[in-house]
Amino acid sequence: MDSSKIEPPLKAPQIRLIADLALFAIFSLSSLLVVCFLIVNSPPFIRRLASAVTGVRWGMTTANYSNKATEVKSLQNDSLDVLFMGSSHAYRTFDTQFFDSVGVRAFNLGTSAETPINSIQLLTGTSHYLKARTVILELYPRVFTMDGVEAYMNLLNGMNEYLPDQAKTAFLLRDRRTILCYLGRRLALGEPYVTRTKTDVYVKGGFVRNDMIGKLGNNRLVIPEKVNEAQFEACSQMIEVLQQRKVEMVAVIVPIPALSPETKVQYDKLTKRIAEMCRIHHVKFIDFNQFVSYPAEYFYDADHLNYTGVQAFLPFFTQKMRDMNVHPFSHAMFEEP
Amino acid sequence: MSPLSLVFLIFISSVFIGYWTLRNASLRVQNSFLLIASYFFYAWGDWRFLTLLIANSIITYLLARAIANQAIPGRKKLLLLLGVVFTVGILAFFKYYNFFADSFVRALSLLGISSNIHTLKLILPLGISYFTFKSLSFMIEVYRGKLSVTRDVVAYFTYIGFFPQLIAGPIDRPSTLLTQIETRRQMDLPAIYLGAKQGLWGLFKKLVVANALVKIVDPIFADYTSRSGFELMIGAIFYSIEIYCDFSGYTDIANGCARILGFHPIENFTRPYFSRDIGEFWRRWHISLTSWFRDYIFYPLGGGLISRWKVIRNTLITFTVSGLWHGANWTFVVWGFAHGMLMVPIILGIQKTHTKKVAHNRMFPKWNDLWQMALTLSLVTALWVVFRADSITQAVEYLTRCFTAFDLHLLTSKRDILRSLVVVGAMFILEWQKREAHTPLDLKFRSRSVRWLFYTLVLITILLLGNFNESAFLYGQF
Repeated sequence: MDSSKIEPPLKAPQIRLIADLALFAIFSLSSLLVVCFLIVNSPPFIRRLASAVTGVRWGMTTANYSNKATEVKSLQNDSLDVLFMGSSHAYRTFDTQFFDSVGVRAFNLGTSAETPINSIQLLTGTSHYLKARTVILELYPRVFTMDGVEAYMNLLNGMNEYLPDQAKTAFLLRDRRTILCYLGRRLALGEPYVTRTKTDVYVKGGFVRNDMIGKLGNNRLVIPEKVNEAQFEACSQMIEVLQQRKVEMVAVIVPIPALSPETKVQYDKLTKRIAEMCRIHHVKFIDFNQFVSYPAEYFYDADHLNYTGVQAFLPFFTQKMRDMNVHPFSHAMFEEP
Repeated sequence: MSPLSLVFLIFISSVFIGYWTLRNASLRVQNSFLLIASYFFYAWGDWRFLTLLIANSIITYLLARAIANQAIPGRKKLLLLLGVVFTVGILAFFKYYNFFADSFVRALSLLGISSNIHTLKLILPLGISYFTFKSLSFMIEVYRGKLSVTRDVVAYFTYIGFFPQLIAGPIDRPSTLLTQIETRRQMDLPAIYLGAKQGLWGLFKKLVVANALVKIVDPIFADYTSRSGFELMIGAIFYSIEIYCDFSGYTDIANGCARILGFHPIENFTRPYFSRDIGEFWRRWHISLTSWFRDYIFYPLGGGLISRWKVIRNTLITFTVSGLWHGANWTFVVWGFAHGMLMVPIILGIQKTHTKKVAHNRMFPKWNDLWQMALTLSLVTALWVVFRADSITQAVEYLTRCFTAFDLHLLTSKRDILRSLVVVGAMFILEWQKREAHTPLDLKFRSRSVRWLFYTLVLITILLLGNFNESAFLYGQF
C-alpha cells in the first residue's frame, strides 16, 4: 500500500462524467417538464386520477375558490368592516349574509387547510382589494401542526392571482408536491378545471354553507404532537403586519365537536400557546369551545359546523364580540341570544 | 442527516467532488478528507455523540495494538476481553439498560420483592450498534492473527466512521473495507454509474414503496383490535414488504454512495423474498449481520462440525442473540428464537436448504419453487408481526385475529391499498427480472437513450409518487 505513489491525472473520465451528468440532468428535467405538461393539460378525469395518485393538485380547483376569487376583485374600491380569515373553519362558520343583516359588512377569505403561513401570503396578495378595519383570524389549533402544502396547492390553483412569491414559497415549503404543482400551474395552457361538491353551497361574501348532519360516532380526530414552529412565527408576523397597518385583529377558535381525551390534551397544549402568543402581542383571543358545547347534530363532520350549528353560533359570536368591544360589532343591530 | 434530505444531496455531491479532486494527493490526505466528511455527517444529528464514536475508535485501536504486540496468550485474551467489555458495555448501557432494569424489577416483584432500580431516559446514539460491531470484528481479527494492525490511524478511524455505513450498516469487515481504505481507489466510471443506479433504486424502494406502505401499516398495527382478519393479513404482508424496502433501500443508498467513492461494499441483501427456505433466506437477508454472528458467535460455540444437538443449541443461541441485537424487547428475542427453531428441520436433515440460484436461466420459477417461496415468505411474514408488535401478547392477538376475526371488511382506503399493490408489484417484477444483478437498474439495453429513459422514468416516479415526509429508517433505531 504505497500511499506516496502519485498517479497521472485522469482527465478523460472526469470530462466524460461531467458531460454525462449534464446530459442526464437536461434529459431528466426535460422529461419531467413534459410529464407535468401532459398531466396538467390532460382531460379532467386524468387530472383527477393523477391528483389522487400523486397527491399533487394538477390544474383543479373547486367552485368555492373560483367564486371567491371573482368576488375579491369586485371589492376593490369598497371598504369592509370585517375580514374573516383562516382555514375551512372560517369559511364554513362565518356567514357573511348574517353579518350583513346586522349591519356589519364582512367578507370571508378563509380557504381549505389554510395555515398562518398561507394566511399572511393571502393577506399580502389581497391587500389591494380587501381593506378591512378588523381582521378576525380563525386559529384552529391543528393548523399549527401542518405544513401549509395543501393550502398552497389550493391557492395556487384557485386564487393564483392573489398569491405572491409563488416560486419562492414552493421551494421554501420543501415539499415535492408544491414544486410539481407550481411547475404544473406554469405549464397549464388554460384555467384550472372547476369541480363542485354537491353538499357545499357558496354564499355571496365567501361563506360556504353545508346542511348535512354528520355521523360522528367516536370522534377519531387526531391532532399531531409535532408542532410546526414556523406557523407560530408566521402568525406573529401576521399580527405585526396588521398592527403596522392599524388594523384590529381578533383571534378565535370556533366550536368543534367533543374530542377524545388524548386529542384534548394536545388541543389544550396548542390553545395555551396560541393564547400566550396573543397575550404577548396584545391581541384579543377567544376560544369558543370554552363557552359552548354543541350536540353532534350541529356538525357535518368531525371538524366543522353545519348550517344549523352556524345559525346557533353566530348570534352568540356577535354578542361576544360586542362584549369584547370589537369595533364593527359594537353597533351591530341584532337580537341578543 | 437523513440520506433522503436535500442537505444530504448537497453533502454527497460536495464530498464526491472534493474526494475525487484529491485523487492525486496522497492517500492519507484523501482518507483524511473522507474522515472529516464522515465526522461532519455524524455530528450533524447530535455532535455530542461524535465524542463516543471517536472514543470508540481510539480505545479499540489502542487495544488492538496492545493485543497484536502481546505475546502471552493469556494476556492477549484478557486484552480482547477488555475490548469486548468496553465496546459491548457501552452498547448494552445505551440499548439494554432500561430493558434489563425493567425485567429485573418485574422478576423480583413476581417473588414479592420490591426494588428501587430506576430506568433512565437514554437516547440511543446513532449507529452505535454498527460501529461497535465493526470495532469488535477488528479486535477479534487481530486477536486471531488474521489481521495485522494498520499503522495508519486515519485509515482505521475512517473504517469505523465511514459515513455511508454509519446509520444502519452494512457491517463491512476490516479484511474488506479497511483494506480498501488503505489502497488507492481508481476513478472507475462504470462503478460510479453502478453506484448511482443502486442509490436511485434504494430511493425508489424507500420513498415510493416503504413510505407508502408505512401509512397503511402503522394505523393497522395501532388499531388492530378493530380491524378484520383480512385487513390484518394485509397489514402483516405490507409490513413484511415495508421492512424489506426500507432496510434494503437504505443499504442500496449506502452502498451506492460507497461505490461512487470507489469502494466495493458488501452486498447486504440479495432478493431475500425469493428464498425457498429459511436457511436460504438468512443467506440473503442482512448478510453482513448474519455472517457477523456466524463468524463471532456461532463458530466459536462450535460451528456446524459437532453433534446435531449442539448445532441446534448453537443456532438457537445465535439467532436469539441476533434477535436481542435488534432491541430491548422480548418480541425481538422471541423473533430470533423462532427463526432459530425454523432452522432445526434443516439442521436435522428433514428439510434441504437451497444453494442453487432460483430459476437460473429461466424466466419464471417452477411451481415447486413458487410454492416454497410463498411458504417461506408466509413464515417470515408471520414472524415479522412478532418483530413489529409492542409486546408478545399483542403479537399473539394480532396473529390469532387474522383467522378468528376473518372477514373482508376494510377500514383502510381501498385506493391506497390498490396504489401500493401497483408499486409493490412493479418493484418485485423488476427485482425478479434482475435477481442476479447488483441492482435491478443495472440494465443491459444497448441503446443509451433507452437506458436513460428508464432511469428518468424511475426518477420521475420517485418525484411523483414518493413520500418524502418519512425520513427515518427502520433499522436506524437498532
